[in-house]
Amino acid sequence: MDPILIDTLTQIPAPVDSTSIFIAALADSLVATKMALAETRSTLQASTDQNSFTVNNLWMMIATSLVFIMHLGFATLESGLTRAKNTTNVLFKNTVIPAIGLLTYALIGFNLMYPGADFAGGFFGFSGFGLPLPEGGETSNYNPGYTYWTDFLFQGMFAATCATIVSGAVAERIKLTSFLLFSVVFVAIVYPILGMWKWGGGWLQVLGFHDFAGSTLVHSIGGWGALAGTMLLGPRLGKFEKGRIYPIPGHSMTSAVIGTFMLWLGWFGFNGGSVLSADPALVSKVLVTTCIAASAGAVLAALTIYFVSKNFDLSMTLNGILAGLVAITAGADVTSVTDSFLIGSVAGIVVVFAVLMFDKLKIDDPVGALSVHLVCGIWGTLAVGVFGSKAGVPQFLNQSIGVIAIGAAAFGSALLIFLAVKAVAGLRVSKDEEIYGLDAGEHGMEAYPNFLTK
Amino acid sequence: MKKIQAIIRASKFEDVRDSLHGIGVEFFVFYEVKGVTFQNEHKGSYRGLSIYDSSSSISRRVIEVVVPEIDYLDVVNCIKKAAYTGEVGDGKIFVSTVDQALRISVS
Repeated sequence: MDPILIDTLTQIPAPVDSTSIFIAALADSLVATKMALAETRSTLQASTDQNSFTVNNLWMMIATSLVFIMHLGFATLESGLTRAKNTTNVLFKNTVIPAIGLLTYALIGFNLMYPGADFAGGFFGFSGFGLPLPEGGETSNYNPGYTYWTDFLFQGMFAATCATIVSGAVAERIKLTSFLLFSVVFVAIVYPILGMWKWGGGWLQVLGFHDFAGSTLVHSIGGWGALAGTMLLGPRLGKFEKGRIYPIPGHSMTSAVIGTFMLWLGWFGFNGGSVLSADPALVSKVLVTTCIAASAGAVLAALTIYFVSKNFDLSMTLNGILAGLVAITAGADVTSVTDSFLIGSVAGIVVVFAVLMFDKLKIDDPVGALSVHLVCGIWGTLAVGVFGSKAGVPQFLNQSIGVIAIGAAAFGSALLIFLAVKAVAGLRVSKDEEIYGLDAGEHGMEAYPNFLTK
Repeated sequence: MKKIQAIIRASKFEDVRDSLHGIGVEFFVFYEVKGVTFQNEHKGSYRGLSIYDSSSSISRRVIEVVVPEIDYLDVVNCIKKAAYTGEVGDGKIFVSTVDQALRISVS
């Protein structure tokens, strides 16, 4: 107690009840202190919240940029594994698809995939066209992890990857306009609706299906589209002739390696961003499981192809990296390091035999997109029921239901779209154009015009 | 006039070029070729499938030079010496007679 206060109180003349005055004064000062403290605390709390919101949103924007650079990865990988005469065509497709994907996602895709609780049904929901900023969309009231704008752009970058997967499998023989027609419909309607089943709060989410960053929702959907495309198109000229399978080597291993590493880098954002906040523990763990699976896929694919053909095939090793990455994408958040190693290893082995299998089935896939994205996407999704904290028979069944349902819907709708495009515009370039190269036929320009000096 | 066509190892090209320049040859043409042999055939593979054309064929360079009749033996010997390693696959030299030579820039 303040000695001066005591002094003052004791000097006050008798009739006044000094004790009650003293108690009242004390109570007042206590209340004031308490209020000041509460105010400081709430200001501190608010600024901590604001700081963590800023950090979360910053990480999500970095992750968005990393997913964006994956499109450069797809472009270089696909052009490297195809022939020089089709390089401009492959690069052109990989250039316009992200652009088309972002535009359609802004127009309808985002609102089809994340319609919000008011509009979401089990299978379909649509909350209107365009990108109207919701109430508080730029603050942490929208989501503690990101703003509305970050949300849109991050998910939009995912959408375009789905159509890019198709482009590699159908390369070197599909008409450019037909492919673009297919891509617009596929990325604008099919991908968002199927994605909504899980990530938009649809029936697969209710069921308990687990797909962390999209082994099924992104990679398998793209893979099923690619399968429909390759089946309808048929193989490239000269691939299967007189009962033999002739390899058609890609024109630049350097380009393929650059693309693969670019994709690996992008996966830091693809999986790391799918945490949907900058949660230090989960983000760093997800990056570790992602990289361990990629490394295991690379080593096991290299060894497997060596046992098959007595050669260390670089293109197959690159496919092994991507196989590991695709496989771990479904369970990067729920698996341990050992689990991720096993998932990646199996993916590295499976991808090699899948490539050989598709060749046996006379399905021509120049870059191995089916083996990587479809087969290992399925494997990774099922692996969530086998490895990690969610493992168990019920989860495995849920994963299987998800794989089958999404597979049937994606393959069926891709087949329908391709058939419709075939009826309207045809699918395949002429035999002459295929032999001469799609660079000349579709674009009137070569990727490497100065091989003959002037 | 004689035309001398020599198939040589690409690795010996610099030696042959310098030697030819040393004995006074001012100009010749060369081109890259690939040879096929069925002895010691080497089989490559791409994505698990056997492949022959790129990894099994033998890279060589062909040089062609046309010289006056009196000089041709010097040129042949010069190439033989410069392109020699002693291993199988050093190449071959073909000599043929040329009827006429015309310069395009002189009318």
